Amino acid sequence: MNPVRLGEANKWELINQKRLERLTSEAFEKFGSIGLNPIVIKGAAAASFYPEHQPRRFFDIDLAFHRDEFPAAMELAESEHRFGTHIDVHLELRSLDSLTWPELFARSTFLELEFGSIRVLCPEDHLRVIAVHWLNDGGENRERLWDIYCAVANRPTDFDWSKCLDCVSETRRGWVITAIGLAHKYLDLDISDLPFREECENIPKWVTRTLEREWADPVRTRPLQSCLRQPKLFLKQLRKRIPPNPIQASIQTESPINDGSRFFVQIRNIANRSVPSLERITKVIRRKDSR
Amino acid sequence: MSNTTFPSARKSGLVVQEVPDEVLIYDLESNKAHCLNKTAAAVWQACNGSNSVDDITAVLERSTGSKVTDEMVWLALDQLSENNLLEAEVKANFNGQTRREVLKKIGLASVIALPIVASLVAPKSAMASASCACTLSSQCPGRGCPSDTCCNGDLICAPELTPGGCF
Repeated sequence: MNPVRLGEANKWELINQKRLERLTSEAFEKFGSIGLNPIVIKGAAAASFYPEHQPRRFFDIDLAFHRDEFPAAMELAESEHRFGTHIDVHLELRSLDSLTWPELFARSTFLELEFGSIRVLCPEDHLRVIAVHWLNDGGENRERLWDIYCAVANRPTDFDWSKCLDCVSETRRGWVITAIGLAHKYLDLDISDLPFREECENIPKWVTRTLEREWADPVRTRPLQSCLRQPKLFLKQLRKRIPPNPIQASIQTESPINDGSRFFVQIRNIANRSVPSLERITKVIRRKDSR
Repeated sequence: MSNTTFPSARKSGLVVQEVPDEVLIYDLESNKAHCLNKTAAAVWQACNGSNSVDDITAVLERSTGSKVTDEMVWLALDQLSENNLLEAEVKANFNGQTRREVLKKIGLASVIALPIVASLVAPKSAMASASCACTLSSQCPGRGCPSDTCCNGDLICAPELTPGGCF
């Protein structure tokens, strides 16, 4: 068999992934040394499901903490300048999952990396969380659909679908199945052995229409407060949000993904988001004025 | 040429990944990535601090099954040293010849690939995805952002993408 020849870009991604795995191990240890117990989400955790020599592209380290540990974690992340990359500190998993932090923590596991072990969500919780995370971003990042593909295709042999899907609401269960169905539709994920394969095929038309529109759109969603100096970009970003992405709106309003109209879901989503968004913009303007 | 040198491969501050026929190295201190071809990798891996250049030449001969000159090893050491991949700097002496002359000479005679230590550059698409959570350029330094100088309006720390687009 001929050895795999790697392209330049792939080589860079591969070594960059390894670099981030090392930095993740070091950060995990550093937080642990002051008594904090993070769970690594996304990043190295998602990359562990990818095949060898197929690196997952990521750039920062996402660490989730119990709410009691969060202030100390934020302080360390901001004061410690030797992590070598940006540390994204999360206050538990918030809306990404409905299990409580103690439940998620009790079910979590350790992932052995070359540089040490890190605490990650168990494979069942990991799949659920990345599926919801991807949908919560409106499915905008097509590349990240591979996270879901790999988490299913390379799941451990003792993966328990009941542990993954039966501990959350019907609505949330439906979201995960939709995400898996989309990985099947667009990335040819094999679902023939899944107990809910028929549900996976049952994706509402508006979901695929939304995704295909998003993937064809060169404008990526960015925080509005970051576009204040660029009126054209600001308007583009505003236009992108009205009407809101119906997938994102469904997740953010805890609505089921089904054939029902998205109109009221989107209206509710606008209502929910406008005040926090205005607050963020005002905060940035105030900060700018004070400089 | 002094063959009594005992070069030692640098270990600290490096992330190493072996791939078919090559070794990829990320230098955490300089934030540079390198790709060593098979010959350069074999030399680097033989640099254990107790192997002399003659020993390394013998190791290379054994691993390639071909006759190898010590000039070939010096060429590799020269590049490894230049890229700070050895514990201590090694000054290659090509007996009054330039590196180009040595390259030409052994390139024609050798059946194995010349040692190459190439730089790996982040693809543009990777840079464009390298976002950070900063909203002010002053927040970027020391937070692991891809650039310390500016966080533009796209929340991408890559000042050249939008000149003057910083807050």
